[in-house]
Amino acid sequence: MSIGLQATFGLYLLVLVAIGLYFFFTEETQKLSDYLLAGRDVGTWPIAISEVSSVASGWTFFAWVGVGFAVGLSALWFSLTMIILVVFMYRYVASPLRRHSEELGTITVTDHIATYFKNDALGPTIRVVVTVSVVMFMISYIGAQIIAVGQAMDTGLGIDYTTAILVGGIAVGVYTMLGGFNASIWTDVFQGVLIFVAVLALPLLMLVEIGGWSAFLSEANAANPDLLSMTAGDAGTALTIGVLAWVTFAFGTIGQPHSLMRFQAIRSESIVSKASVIAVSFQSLRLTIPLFIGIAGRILYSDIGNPENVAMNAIVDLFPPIVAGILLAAIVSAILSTSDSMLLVTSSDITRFYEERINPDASEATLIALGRLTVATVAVLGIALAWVRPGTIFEIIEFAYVGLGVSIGLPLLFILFWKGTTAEGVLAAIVVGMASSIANLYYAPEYFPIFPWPITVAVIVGVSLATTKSGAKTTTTLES
Amino acid sequence: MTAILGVPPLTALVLALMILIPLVAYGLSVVDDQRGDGSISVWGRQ
Repeated sequence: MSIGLQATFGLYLLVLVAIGLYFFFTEETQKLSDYLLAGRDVGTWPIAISEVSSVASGWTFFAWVGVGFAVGLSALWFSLTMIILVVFMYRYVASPLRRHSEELGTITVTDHIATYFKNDALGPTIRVVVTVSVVMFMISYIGAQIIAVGQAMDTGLGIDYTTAILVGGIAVGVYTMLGGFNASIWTDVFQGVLIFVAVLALPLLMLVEIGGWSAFLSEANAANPDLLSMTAGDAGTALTIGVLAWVTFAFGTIGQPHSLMRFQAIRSESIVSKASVIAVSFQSLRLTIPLFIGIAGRILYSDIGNPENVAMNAIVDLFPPIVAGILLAAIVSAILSTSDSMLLVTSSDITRFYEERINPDASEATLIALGRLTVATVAVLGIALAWVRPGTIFEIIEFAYVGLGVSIGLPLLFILFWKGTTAEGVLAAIVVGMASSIANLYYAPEYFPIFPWPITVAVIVGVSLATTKSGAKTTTTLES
Repeated sequence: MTAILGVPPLTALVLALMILIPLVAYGLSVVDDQRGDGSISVWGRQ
């Protein structure tokens, strides 16, 4: 382990903490709604910057590289579906969600679904269930980020995994509690450039190491002739199931609370179109290039213990030590930034639940204290999950991504686009969405995540139609 | 089956789409911008 690499890695993180401390002691603590949505005054470039931060999460540099290593370019079924959905979400969902959100005064998607049915008898129950769903899946998502931080620190500093996840988890929690959002505005642009360089330069350096494009193709074919194919060597039913699994995994894009929050925060509907170009471009890059890094890793690191560590090892091996230290630290701090927004969403949902259901007279100081306590608790649970490590980073992210899409995204889209949606239908969809995601994973993992989608759509449509016919009138806050 | 730049045709097509879709999004944003009323009415919903 190079001293130069360790020194730059450590120094970079220390500077980041120092910036966080500076903002913690100099900036006045704001209300959570201002903190999360920045007064609904976020412009095109801040959205672009937050897009850079979120793409540089554990998903891009660990999970997707591991997928490229294992199955190669057949994962492009996911990538293609996802970027089409990103365009759809920006062009069809962003404007109505932003408008409804402003009318209802909601700050997260959980809050939006619950507040929409606030005047209905089932409103309080919907808030409980939707909060449980977000907390459960977000803890999984944050656990996956902590595993990624642990693996990066393991590679960058040479410390063992258990210590690394403990340090990484504490770093995630402290960073958020210090007010990481303010701090990250300062560092995100610089980090975005660094990560952009890493994403473009790393595969080029790996290609040079392999001996060029022709050598890459022949060695990839020699390692596994299906790595460059969209079929992964499958045909017939197996191919159909494989493609459906990737496509339904990508459907999760409709329900990610930390992404949907951006739509609620956007300054004006007139910038949505421009923001969509930036978002879809970054997503296209980050969902394609890591697959090639993974395939190159299959050639250069064929006997690596954990394929999700290919990018970290390649950075250490192919860049000069000081540059490698900076890049690894930039990736770690970008993961911290992503985890920061996930923790804030979860913390906000718990705080709103407390304010709405338990103590409506709670002071702002109590709510901020509860928010910080929630961040600490979720970080501890994330560390516990990273320690147990129930699956790879990819498997945990896939579970959380699909669970959020089914139980949050589907009800949200139905609320926005179908006036016939009832409180009963939404409540049933959230419960069935959670249950079917878990059941599909544990009882039919080879078909995960195909089943929860048709089941949940059938439930929300069926229950809504049934409850409308029986005369049960759903009272939405927008109507009243 | 003939390979395109060494990758199978279907893979090449999907990789091309990964480049084309952001370009289409850019084209739509230019059309929206030229209209000047802040709406997203080309393949979208205001």
